[in-house]
Amino acid sequence: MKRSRLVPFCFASVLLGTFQAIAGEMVELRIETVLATDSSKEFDDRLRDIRPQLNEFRFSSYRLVQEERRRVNWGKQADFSLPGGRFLQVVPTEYTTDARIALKVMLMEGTTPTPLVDTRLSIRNHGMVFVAGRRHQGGTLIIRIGAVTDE
Amino acid sequence: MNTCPRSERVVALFHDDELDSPLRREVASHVAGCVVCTRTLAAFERVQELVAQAVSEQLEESDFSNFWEGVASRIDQQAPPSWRLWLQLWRERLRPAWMPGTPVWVATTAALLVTTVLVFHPPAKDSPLPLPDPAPTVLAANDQAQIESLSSTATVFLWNEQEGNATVIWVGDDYEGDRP
Repeated sequence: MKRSRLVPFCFASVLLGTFQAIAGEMVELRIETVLATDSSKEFDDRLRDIRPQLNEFRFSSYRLVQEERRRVNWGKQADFSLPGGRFLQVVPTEYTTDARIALKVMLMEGTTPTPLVDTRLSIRNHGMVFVAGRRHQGGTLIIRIGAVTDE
Repeated sequence: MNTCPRSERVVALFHDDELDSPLRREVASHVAGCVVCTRTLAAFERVQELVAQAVSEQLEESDFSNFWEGVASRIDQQAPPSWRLWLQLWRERLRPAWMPGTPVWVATTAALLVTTVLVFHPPAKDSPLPLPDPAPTVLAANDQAQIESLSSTATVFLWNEQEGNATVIWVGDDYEGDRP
């Protein structure tokens, strides 16, 4: 390898290692499942932190039906059971150079081996993304996926 | 005069075999016990017989002995083939059996072009460093989340709410208009 190419490569490797060290060894994944309906005006007080985001869905009622937090190592898969026999697999893959948490997320439903959703995304540290739209008990599920790591 | 509401609409469809099986069975059962519909059906059958008889009589009276000669004559009177058709026929006659087809000619021409370009414009020995890989395609992005790839077996909508600063992956096959 030429010296001119070696230097940037080494620099990038060191930078990546530094970011991994800064980010810590563990990631906390936060999965909150909300049942949204139009049947009442109820708003679960445990969801007040994300009320502005939930209001964008334009349902009249929001109830937290499941909440789970789990600390996992980078690259390790975390499985979450969701209402209605659904299944969520989350793998935190890396802490990116722009201080984001990269995730691989798969939502599975039913007995089909093919995931319903298979996505790669990155969220800001302490950030979130919503996966919504599946029907459940006369309402619609809104799954909030959040991730936190030590900076 | 006796009438039956079914004789007006359904019996004609029944006669033409235009009814699906359950209704057809029901109408057949009704016609068997309804004098008015039986008469209506008989009238339809009689009309059909008369029409078929008239058509066959006309056919017997027609002379088809010169029919195909007439068709051939009309074809000959059509305009002569265009110059493209003549050219194609001429090429087909002259083309030897070993002559390669169009794809071979195209491939050969392309190879000659590439060779010419390489000979007259060789790549510089001190070529610059290769370009870095392009940034991954981002399907949706905001301050909170960036979706880099997404596959789904369902109908998926992606949207960013600027107001709530939220990225949403909406997975559903029952789009209701107002959501998302």
